[in-house]
Amino acid sequence: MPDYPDFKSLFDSGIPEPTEVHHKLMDLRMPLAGRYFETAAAQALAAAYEGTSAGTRYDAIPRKSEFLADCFPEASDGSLQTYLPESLEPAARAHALQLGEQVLHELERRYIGLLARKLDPLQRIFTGYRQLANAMDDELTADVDNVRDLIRDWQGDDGEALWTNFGDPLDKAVKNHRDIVRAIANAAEGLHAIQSKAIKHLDEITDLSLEAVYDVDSNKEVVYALVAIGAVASVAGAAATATAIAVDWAAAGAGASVIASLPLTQSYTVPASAADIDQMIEDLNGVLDEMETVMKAEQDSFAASLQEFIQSKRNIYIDGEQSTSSQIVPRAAQ
Amino acid sequence: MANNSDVGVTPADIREAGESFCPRLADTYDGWTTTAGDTIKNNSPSLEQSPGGAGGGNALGDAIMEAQRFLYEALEESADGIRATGLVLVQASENWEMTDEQIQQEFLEQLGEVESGNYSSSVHTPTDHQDYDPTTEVSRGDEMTRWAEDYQEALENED
Repeated sequence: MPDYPDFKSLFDSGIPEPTEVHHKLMDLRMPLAGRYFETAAAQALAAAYEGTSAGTRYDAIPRKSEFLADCFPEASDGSLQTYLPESLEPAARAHALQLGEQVLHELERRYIGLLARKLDPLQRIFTGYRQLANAMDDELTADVDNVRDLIRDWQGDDGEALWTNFGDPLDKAVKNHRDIVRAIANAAEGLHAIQSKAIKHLDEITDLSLEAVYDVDSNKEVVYALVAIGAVASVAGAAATATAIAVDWAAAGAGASVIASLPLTQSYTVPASAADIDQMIEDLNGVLDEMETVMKAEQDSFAASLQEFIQSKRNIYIDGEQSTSSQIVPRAAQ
Repeated sequence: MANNSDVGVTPADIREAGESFCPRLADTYDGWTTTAGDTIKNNSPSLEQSPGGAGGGNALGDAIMEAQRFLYEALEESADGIRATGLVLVQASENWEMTDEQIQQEFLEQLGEVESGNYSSSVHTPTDHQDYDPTTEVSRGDEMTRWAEDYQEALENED
């Protein structure tokens, strides 16, 4: 699987449509059934051998392919079908399909959860708020300056109070509002990026699995890999921690992205055996577990950083001084 | 108590600030409030936990929703505060000898009128355009104060 140094390189490589990824997963149905035929055939044989020494040994062996090798060492192609009586084959095929469906159903449930968050609304949020932040820069300067110029020279208690509590903080309030809007835009873009990365990884993981599940004979090693945002990159299979991702929430000018340049680091790889279907499915579920863990750590980290930023603005608002709180809500008096 | 004779500005200056520029500022803020409200309302499902549970939880979606609520209330109250200030300035220009206590009293009265949504005058008619309310009742004016107080209380309880 490719590695991505940052979000920009990941986006440049193209993010597939979630429906495409879902359809691709469904393409696993028949090859999975084919791979599970071995297990189903072994079970059919075991049932046929019930009461014999072979049947007893089958019950004690967890891996049915091992049972095959053990009971039928002369089977050079690794397929039980050679030894399966014709009368047992339909039942074995139906059972194989059922086993494949069970695995696919569980995978689909997980995929649906991982693909649930829609990208388009998130994009509308961050582009909309970025436009709003730009409008705040463009639209108000003249009017704010005019108000301030007209009241600035008002002397005496009334005028000074008006200037201290309203005129002076007014431009700070506009900047604070713009910064909050930028922070929300950046945070929404962060969530968009996390979700995009998940879709990209699911697509790659599905491609690898499809390739491997058809490749019965090569005993090929499949390597699932994930990338994580810098601060979460130390996961490497251990529990991810939510250390704050350093984001300047109020940064970025027109159309700029603070997310695109965040570094990504390969956080997790697992070599999965293509020869052993049970092990491959276990590894596939393992990489999905890790994906969820990394996504949660990334979200926790972004969220903690955003909350800290918003709290700093909230603290301005709840300050006891009117001249300070007017930097969030401009008012002449209270 | 001080009055406003010979204090560096003219009643015409104050009237212009109160009658022209403050309402324009407030109108602009109303527009931004509407934009923020529409953005939240139209796209918030993508920030909420899906029924099946979105991968990786929803901590960031929740944090963005909280930030949006703070922004919305800040913009809404700013529009009200600037509009009320403009009305006070117009009153002050018409009663140039008002004391600062009278000005403060006037501000509170005008703010109450603006927040009630019932205010109308030849100077400016506030636009009552808000219907952003994804979860709770939102009234113009005091929602942010209550919300900030609740949040502060929650923080203190955590400590």
